[in-house]
Amino acid sequence: MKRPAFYFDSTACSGCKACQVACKDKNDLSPGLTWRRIYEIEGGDWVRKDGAITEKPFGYFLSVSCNHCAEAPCIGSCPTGALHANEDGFIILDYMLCMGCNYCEWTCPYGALKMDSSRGIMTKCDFCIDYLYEGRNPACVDACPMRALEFGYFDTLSARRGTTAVVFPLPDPAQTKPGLVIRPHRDASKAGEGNAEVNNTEKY
Amino acid sequence: MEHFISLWLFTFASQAAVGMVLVKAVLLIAGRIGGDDIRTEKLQKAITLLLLFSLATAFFHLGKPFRAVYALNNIGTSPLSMEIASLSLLLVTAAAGVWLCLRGTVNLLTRLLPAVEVAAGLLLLLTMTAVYMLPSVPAWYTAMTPLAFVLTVVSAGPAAFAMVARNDIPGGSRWLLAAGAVAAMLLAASGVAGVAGRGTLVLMLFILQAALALAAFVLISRRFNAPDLNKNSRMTVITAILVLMSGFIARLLFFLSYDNTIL
Repeated sequence: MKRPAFYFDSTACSGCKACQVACKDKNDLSPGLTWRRIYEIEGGDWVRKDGAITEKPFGYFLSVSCNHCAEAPCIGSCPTGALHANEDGFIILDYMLCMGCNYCEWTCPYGALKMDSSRGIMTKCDFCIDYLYEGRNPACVDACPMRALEFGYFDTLSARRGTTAVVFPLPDPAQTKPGLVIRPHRDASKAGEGNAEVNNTEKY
Repeated sequence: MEHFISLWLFTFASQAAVGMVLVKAVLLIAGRIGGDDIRTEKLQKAITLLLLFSLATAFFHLGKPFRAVYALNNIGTSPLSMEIASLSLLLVTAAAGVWLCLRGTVNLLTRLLPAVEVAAGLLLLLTMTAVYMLPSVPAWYTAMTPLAFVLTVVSAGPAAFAMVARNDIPGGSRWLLAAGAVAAMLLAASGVAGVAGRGTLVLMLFILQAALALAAFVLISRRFNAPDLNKNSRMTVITAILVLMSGFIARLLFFLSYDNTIL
């Protein structure tokens, strides 16, 4: 099966959230509902240099949506069978079967599935599958002014660019084999040691 | 957070019901109650009502409750499907027990039914553990989750039973109440690690939980050797309430600890 994927260049992303807005606009998402989110990661440390203690902050952005994982835990966990992978590798949610139990949201380590309270069902990124079948890019890709997002297939993208290494705060890719290739920010390696955090979380 | 409120009730009530099923089986095997005993009937009805309540609460967190009929579609792979199936199985068994009580079919009530109920109850406990042991929720993906569930069964089961039986508790079942109070203490102790760094509200709830469990433990240990323990219904009910409240707060703390890898 083909593995559709996003390439994300964290070194180019300015955190403008145009991708987030384009996604909301294209899919007519209600307020508070975001299928693609920009995560703002900030961190730092204090260092001793020439007898003085100075701060050494860093920050970077990550744009994350559903990664249409090859081993998606959401599919197996869904009690109604509403989630499935189609023949092209896209993970599709059948809105007529979903009963809004939220379980897929718990099982997804990327927090990609979101409850639409007004409709009482879960919702998720569908890779703008209608655009793709028309030969166009997903809305978020075309909206990015920095060209930090790209659509392609996993093997091609990972051979050509980026890495699939662990990038804070994303989970280990070995866990779900996500369709996501990342060029990490130079400071991403400094994070993940307890000295960085996501600054714009939306906890329950 | 709002959908956690119904899950809070659902998980606690169904685990208390599993505890009552185990208590009933132990008492039947030990010969403390019989198949034609009014206490067996009361216990059977209480288990059924508790399971009905937990099934009803399970519906409240669904965005589309009428689509719950699809919940068994993925029974081979989804832990949630299996949880609902095992809960339904336990409910049907318990309801059959009530019917047998009303008909006075003693043999089936004392031999076959408890075995089926215990099997269904343990299956429910197992599937419930599978539902919450998620790698994507680090706070729940620890050995503390199954431990907390088992301790809830052991503590809430005897306490719920004591609430039902009140001043009609069979002789010798003080051990069950004592085990419940000890399990409540252990449940509080097992939650210590999860409280660290989670804010004042969580800390205060944890202290309340531990205090209630300790009070239940002190109460039962002071009266354990008193000959009138089983006759003293007020003390028994107070102990049971303390144990149940402690377990209830522990479950709230469990849901408050929810986190996701990326959040």
